[in-house]
Amino acid sequence: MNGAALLEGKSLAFSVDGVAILRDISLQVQRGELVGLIGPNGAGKSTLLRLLCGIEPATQGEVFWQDCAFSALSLDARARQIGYLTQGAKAQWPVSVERVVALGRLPHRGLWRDNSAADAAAIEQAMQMAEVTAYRQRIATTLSGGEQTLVMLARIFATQPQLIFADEPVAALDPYHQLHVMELLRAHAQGEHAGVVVLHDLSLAARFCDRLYLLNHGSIFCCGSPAAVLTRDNLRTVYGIDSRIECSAEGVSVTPTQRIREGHP
Amino acid sequence: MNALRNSPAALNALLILATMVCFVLSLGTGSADVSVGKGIADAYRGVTSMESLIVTELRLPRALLALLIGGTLGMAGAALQGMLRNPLAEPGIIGVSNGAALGAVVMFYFGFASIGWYLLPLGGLLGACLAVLCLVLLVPHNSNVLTLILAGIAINAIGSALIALALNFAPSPYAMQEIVYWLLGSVTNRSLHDVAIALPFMAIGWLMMLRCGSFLEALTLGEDTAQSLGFNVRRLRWILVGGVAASIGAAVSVSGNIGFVGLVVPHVLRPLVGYSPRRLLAVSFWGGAILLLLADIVVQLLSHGGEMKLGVVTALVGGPFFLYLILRTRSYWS
Repeated sequence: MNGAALLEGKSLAFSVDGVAILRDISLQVQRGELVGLIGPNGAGKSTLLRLLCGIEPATQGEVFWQDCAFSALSLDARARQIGYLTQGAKAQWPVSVERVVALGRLPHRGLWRDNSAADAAAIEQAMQMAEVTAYRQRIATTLSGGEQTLVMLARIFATQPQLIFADEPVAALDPYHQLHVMELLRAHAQGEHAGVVVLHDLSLAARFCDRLYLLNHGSIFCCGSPAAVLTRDNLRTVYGIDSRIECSAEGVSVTPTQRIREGHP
Repeated sequence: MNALRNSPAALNALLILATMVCFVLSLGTGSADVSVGKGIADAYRGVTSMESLIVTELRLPRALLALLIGGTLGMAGAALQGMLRNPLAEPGIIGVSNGAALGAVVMFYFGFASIGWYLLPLGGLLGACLAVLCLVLLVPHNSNVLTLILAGIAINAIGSALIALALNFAPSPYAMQEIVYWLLGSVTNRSLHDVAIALPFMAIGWLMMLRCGSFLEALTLGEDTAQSLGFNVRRLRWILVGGVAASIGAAVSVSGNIGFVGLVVPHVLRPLVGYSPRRLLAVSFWGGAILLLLADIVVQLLSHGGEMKLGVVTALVGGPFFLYLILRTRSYWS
């Protein structure tokens, strides 16, 4: 951990029409780590992600990129550093996979200019990383959910961002694609790069993330290594579930066994 | 077709060429049998002859307006569809054209149009702005098509009601007839002065829409993703809406309502540009120009005595096409 964190949120708060969605959230993302945001539905994970990547301004507090305020950077400069994968992202016109991936180059392009040779190389490399080169000519909207997520990841890789934010990237995917997407995010978060991922699957979070932030009712309940955060007591309090937690060579695995309170949370 | 798809420049060149051909054909079409070449030569040399009068006073403004207004309608349709990510958005259907018509009618009938040449297109522009504003407020982005169409129906209804009110209080039956004819949509009996009035507003609108090309491209992935790609969504949406309002406002204030061009043209051309909303803008301009020039030639060839209005023809062809689009995309949005 050399010097300042790659991204740091300091005392972030967010409210809509006076209703607090997030309260006093401070978190750091260091270079080389994949950070997981977990918590029950409505805990504010997605909102936090939007604040961190600058889509929505925080009501209070500030996000810092290395040493400077993130909001002080131009939109283009920010867009070149980050990639944001929205929940259930998909193309809204039947465009080819190649063209979707090429959209990742928009932050690097001038207003009226078409793709340059450097752009073409980055697009090619991104498609190889996400293993979508084989269906580059296919229409993105006709692909399976898993394939579409990979295409969206390739679009993000094409930007060559330092930090990737992913909002429930594996929510509707089969186990094969879940592992594939998580492996890609893990592989990206090396060296100078990092990632922040919102997850519901606690075992995947435990297995792939370096650190977890457990959110509850708009504030951070606890944070730390997966083994420290995913304890029976924490899951009881935050999720209202009993669970079996096993530690093995593959990491921590969490199996929810039963609800302990009616109508929780 | 495939060669065209892979080369945007070739597609544009082909469409521009076709536009020029249609423009020349349009110049050569009319009730009087005159030599267009001689007319242009005479006008150029400053000689007043029957040919030069017919060409400069009748044929040229008509052909120019068909080209410019067709292009505007095509591009505005492509821009709105790109913004709302919805192939059924069109200036006429969502009420923008009616708003512009209302604005122009108000300028006509309160006599503002005679105060300054700029007030008529300005009225159209304000009316169009008002309609788009209502639409943006009524329709949350990325909501379903039904909301959009319903909001369009409401805006259209309000526009029509207010136009009817203006008709109701028209100073004379003659004035009423004039306004009704004007509303039907036509490029007949316009002068180069009309072209000069509308062109600046249209050109500003085109530039504003073209400025948003990359933004429309990014919107293919939704508004949040566009924002994360470095686009100021709120600001660019206003630039786009302003561009549509300026160009449509100006177009409607000289030609009245000419519907469905903005629906048909982008729909036909979209596959040829690989569904790229950015490239669709320019291509739809030329496509719209070609369609309206051809439609106007057909109108002139079919008219004997009582002239058919251009807007009536485009509505007759475009209405069923709209129905077909709804049927085809029904499974996609029901």
